[in-house]
Amino acid sequence: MAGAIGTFLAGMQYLFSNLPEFFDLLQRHLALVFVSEAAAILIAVPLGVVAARYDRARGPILSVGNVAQTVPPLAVLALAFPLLGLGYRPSVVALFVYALLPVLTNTIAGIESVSENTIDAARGMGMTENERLREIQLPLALPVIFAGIRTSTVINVGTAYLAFFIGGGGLGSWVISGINLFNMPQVMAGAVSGALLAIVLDLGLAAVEGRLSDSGVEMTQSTA
Amino acid sequence: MIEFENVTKTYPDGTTAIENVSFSVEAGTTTVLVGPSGCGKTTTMKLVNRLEDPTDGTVSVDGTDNRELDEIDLRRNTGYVIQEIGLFDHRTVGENIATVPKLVGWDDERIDERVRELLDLMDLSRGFRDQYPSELSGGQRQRVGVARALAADPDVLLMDEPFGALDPITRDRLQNEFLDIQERINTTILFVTHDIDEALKMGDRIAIFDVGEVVQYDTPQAILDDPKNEFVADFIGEDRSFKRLDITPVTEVMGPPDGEYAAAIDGNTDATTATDGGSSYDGEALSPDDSVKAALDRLLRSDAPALPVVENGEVIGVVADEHIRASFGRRSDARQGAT
Repeated sequence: MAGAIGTFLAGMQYLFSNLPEFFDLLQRHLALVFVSEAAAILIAVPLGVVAARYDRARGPILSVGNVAQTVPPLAVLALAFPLLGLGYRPSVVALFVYALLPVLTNTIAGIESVSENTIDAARGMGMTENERLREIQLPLALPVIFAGIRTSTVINVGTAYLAFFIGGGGLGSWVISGINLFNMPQVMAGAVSGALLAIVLDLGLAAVEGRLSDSGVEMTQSTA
Repeated sequence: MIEFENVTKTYPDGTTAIENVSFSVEAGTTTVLVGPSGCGKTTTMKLVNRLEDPTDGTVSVDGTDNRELDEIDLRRNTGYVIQEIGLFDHRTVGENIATVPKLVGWDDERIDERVRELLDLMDLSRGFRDQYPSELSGGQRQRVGVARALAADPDVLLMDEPFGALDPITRDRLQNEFLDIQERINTTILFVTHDIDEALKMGDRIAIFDVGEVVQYDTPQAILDDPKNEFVADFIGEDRSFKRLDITPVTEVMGPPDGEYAAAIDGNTDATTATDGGSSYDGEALSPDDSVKAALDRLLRSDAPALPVVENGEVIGVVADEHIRASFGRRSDARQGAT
């Protein structure tokens, strides 16, 4: 116990004495997470809409998402390496692939959770398929879609540590090289800060999600 | 005016929902489609706004085969109310009501005015406008549902068991309010229900469905007087005389105020008429809106041989047993002997 606390304190000390380097790593980590996540959202939401609308597209789309998620993240990174080389960009691609599924499944689930009656009423009132999607299904599905984005982002923060293996940088640099060098304070500094980052993002996104599902209805309105 | 001509609807899986159905709904009237579940009444209704298309035959609206009309335009000109209401939970009551006007591009001012008008019409306070559907009771939600369907002043209103999910008291209240509204809006209404009492109450005409076909299409009175076959008679139930009394206003059966019961009425009213006006009859007098059933109920409970029908403090007629019996086409000889 005392040892653990000691290591933690040593880790914090390491962090504060290497603040400039820490901010560099953090910035890179955030860049990996946000860029890959944004790309995943941009692709997965429309794909989810297509899958929810066309039964025939649904199977293939879901299996692609599933495969991407089932392959261990390390393997995704390893696969990205021969195809795209080393560095930041292949890392983003690998993280993007890995982030797709939660957003995709939640988009489909969200759209399908809109009640039949609501759709029936919208149809009966003369809304076209696009109007139904834009004005009814997507706004009502938004909290569920957003929950998928939240899950995906939090997982992404953890997965991004592995980007170090193919030269993507980020907080993984401290953790992985720390393990190799038995530099526990360095491992601790990298791990704790990443954990905090995941928690902060989770709480922040949860707050947004909460607003979307109750009063946040107005938000949907103003953005629509 | 909606016309069904030899309409058959068969689903791809081979089940036939309706077969060779023909009837027409006159403009400005309410026609109720009634029958047991699975009889094809909802399918029939959905053929009007083309949520379903017929396999055979034509459905025409104001003389045009509705398959020649653009289905989106057709639906925007046709109000649609369903039992489950289907309000848009992410939109306020006001925005829900404004759905179709927005779709067809009314300007904001006109929409605003129309929403206010409809809230008043449906007896919803203006405060509801900015609330979300989840904050409303079942009855209020269905009021919003009806308001939303009426928003763009549709020529035709389709209602699929609109009051079916409400408790009996709320249902009764909404039915009565809707009867009032119906008189004011002059819309052609097609109303689906499985409840014969509701059908008799709401309909100018009733189409009784048995598996996939219309068995009888007539006015409520005619159906009660002369059910076409055993199915119809069964469907109406044992107490069809009572049902008939319930939908007949006293004004239809009452006798003249100066006839043979004049004395009885005078005696009856004199005793209680210290003041004037309808209320002074102390619950004994009938108002022109009362049903014959209500009249019979009060006759049974009172000693009077006849009751006055009072409108604005004036006796406009009298109702006695024999008037009620006469309305069934039979005279009460026993009663006549007694008086």
